[in-house]
Amino acid sequence: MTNEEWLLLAGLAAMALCIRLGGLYAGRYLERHASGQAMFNAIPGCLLVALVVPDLLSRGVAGWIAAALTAVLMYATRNMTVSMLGGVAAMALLRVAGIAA
Amino acid sequence: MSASLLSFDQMGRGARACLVPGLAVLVFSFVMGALAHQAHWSLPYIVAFCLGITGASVQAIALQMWSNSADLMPILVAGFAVHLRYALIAASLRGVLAELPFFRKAFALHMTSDSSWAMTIADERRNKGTTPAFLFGGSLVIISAYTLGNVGGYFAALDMADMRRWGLDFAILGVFLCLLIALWRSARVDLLPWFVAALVACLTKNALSGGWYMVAGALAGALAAGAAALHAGRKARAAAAAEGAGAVERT
Repeated sequence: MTNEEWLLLAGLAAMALCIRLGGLYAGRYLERHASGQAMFNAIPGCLLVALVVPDLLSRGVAGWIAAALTAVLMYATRNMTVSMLGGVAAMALLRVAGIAA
Repeated sequence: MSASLLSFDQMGRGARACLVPGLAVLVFSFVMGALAHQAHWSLPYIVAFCLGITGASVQAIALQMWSNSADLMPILVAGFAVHLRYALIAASLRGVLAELPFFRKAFALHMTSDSSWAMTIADERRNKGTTPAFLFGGSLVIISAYTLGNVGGYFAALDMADMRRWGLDFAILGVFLCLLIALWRSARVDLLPWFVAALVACLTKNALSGGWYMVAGALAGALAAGAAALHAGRKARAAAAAEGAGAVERT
């Protein structure tokens, strides 16, 4: 690996740590107000939604079927292993059946 | 006591909670390792990357962009964009990390990944009083899985087609879906912010490069939650005032 590539790694690592520490200390200002508290509590769910929904929409019908199955399994069993593997299996079967690309 | 990262009991709980996400991460990072091998990354570089930057999306960006150009700056900017959500992740961990001294806080944050964060928040919502050791134990499992997966992928010349045939490209998304269902509180509290987050993320995904859309969606959803709380607070105060006026009239 070249020096430049190691420099990139070091730069990315420093940046990542700065982002995290920055967020931690910026959070202090949010906590002070009731509406700030509500924002604060909403962050985890909203972040995951923003991560999942665009990804899901780009996956087509097979992805939606697998996602629906995962959601139903999770709702019914509250067991993440079963639900995740159910979605993976559905995705594999849909590909075998030629429904998914 | 709770200022320690090394309470084995708590670490064990966190580690167990992260086993399933860890499995998904293992599978996913296997692909990353194979891709890194194709991009001629050396094994020490891969391991240093896994341990130095705890974020798979940064690795994905670096892998994708490094082969196209030799400029550092665009990669740093794109890495910043995909990693910025960790500012929100860190902010939401304030309560859990509150009692730690600075360097332990920084270390715990450095080790945190999407999955160990999400399992920690889910535990906090359910049980309250989740300790930093819970987060740390979970993070250790995820980082180990991530590094091992990368190393495994480096040695196995596996390609994306194999992963897709087994449906494994769904694994991470599946875990996040499960977490969303676990994090759902009620329609009254969550419906509006989640809808706004999804809408803004989808609308901005094509307009903004990198990972800005995730940050934009999350911030918009959080702002919606804040606005809703402000509105509810005002209504409650108005109702209380009306009640108070009624009480005065009655006396």
